[in-house]
Amino acid sequence: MLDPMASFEVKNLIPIHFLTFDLSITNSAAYMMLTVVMILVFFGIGTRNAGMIPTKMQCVIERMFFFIGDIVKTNAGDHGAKLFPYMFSLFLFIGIGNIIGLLPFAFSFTSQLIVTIGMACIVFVISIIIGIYCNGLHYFRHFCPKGLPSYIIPFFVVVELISFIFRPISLGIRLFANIVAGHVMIKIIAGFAVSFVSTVTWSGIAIVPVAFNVLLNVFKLAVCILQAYVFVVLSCMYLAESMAHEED
Amino acid sequence: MDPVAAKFIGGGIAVIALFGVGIGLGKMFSSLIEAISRNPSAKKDLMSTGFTCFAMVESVALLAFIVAMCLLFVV
Repeated sequence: MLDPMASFEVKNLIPIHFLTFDLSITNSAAYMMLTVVMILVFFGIGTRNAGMIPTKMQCVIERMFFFIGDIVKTNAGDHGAKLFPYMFSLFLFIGIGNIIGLLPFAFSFTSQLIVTIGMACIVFVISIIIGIYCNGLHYFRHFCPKGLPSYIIPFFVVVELISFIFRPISLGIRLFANIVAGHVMIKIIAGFAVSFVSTVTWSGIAIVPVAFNVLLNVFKLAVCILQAYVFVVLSCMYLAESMAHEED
Repeated sequence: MDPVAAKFIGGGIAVIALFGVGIGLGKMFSSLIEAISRNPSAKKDLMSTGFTCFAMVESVALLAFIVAMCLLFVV
C-alpha cells in the first residue's frame, strides 16, 4: 500500500494481439491518447473563433506559440523554422503529459523509461537523417573537423562519437528521472504524514508533511514545464547542429 | 556483510554525488545572479540559459537518485 513505486506500474487495460505483436492498450497508452485528445480539444476550441482581437483562450495559445517560436529562433536560427511544428507538438505532449501525471490517481507516462528514451531516439534519428539530407556525407566531417593535429584525431573522434551516442540516453533519462524523483518524493513525504497520524500522541504533527507536500506540488508543476522546455531546447540544438552547413 | 545491510549502505553511498551537484548549482546560480546584477537588461536571455543549465546539473543528482532507488527497490 505504501510502496512509493506502485503508481508507476503499467497495467494492461485492453489486451490486443496482432500477429506476433503485443499492441495492448495499457494505462500508459491510454494516458498518451488522453493527452493528445486534450491538446486537440483545447486547440480546437481555442482557435474556433480566431480573429484579430483574440479571445481569452486564443491568448493562451498564442503565448505558447510565441514561447516555442522564440526558443526555436534563438537555438536554431532562421533556417530552423521548419522545426517549429515538431518542437511545438513535442513541448505540448511532454508538458501536458507531465501535468496530467500530477493529478491524484493519475498515471504519468513520462515516468516510463521506454517512452522518454523512445522520444529521445526519434529526435536522434531525425537529427542524423536531417544531417545527411542537408550536408550529404559531409555531415560525418562533424566528428573530425579540419585543422586538428594528426595525433589528436583518434582521441577526438572517439570522444565525439561517445558524446554523440550518449545524447538520446541523457535526454531520455533526464526527463524520466525528474518525473520519477518528484513523484517518489511526494509519496514518501505523504507516507510520513500517514505514519505520524497512526501514532496517536504525535498525530498533530502530520500537518507539517502535508503542508510541505503542497509546496512540493507547486515545485513539481514548475519542474514539469521546465523539463518539457529543456527537452525542446536540447532537441532543437541537436537538430540545428546537424542542419548547419560546415564552413570550409 | 549482510546483503540487505550492504544494499542500504550502497543506497546511501550513491547519493554522495549530491555533494558535487550542490557545489555546481551554487556556483551556477551565484554567477547567474552576478551576471544579472551586472547587466539587468540581459535578464531574459540569461534566465533561459540559466534554467537550461540548472536542469542539466540537476539531472546528475537525479541519476544518483535513480541508482539509489535501483539499489533499494530493484536489486
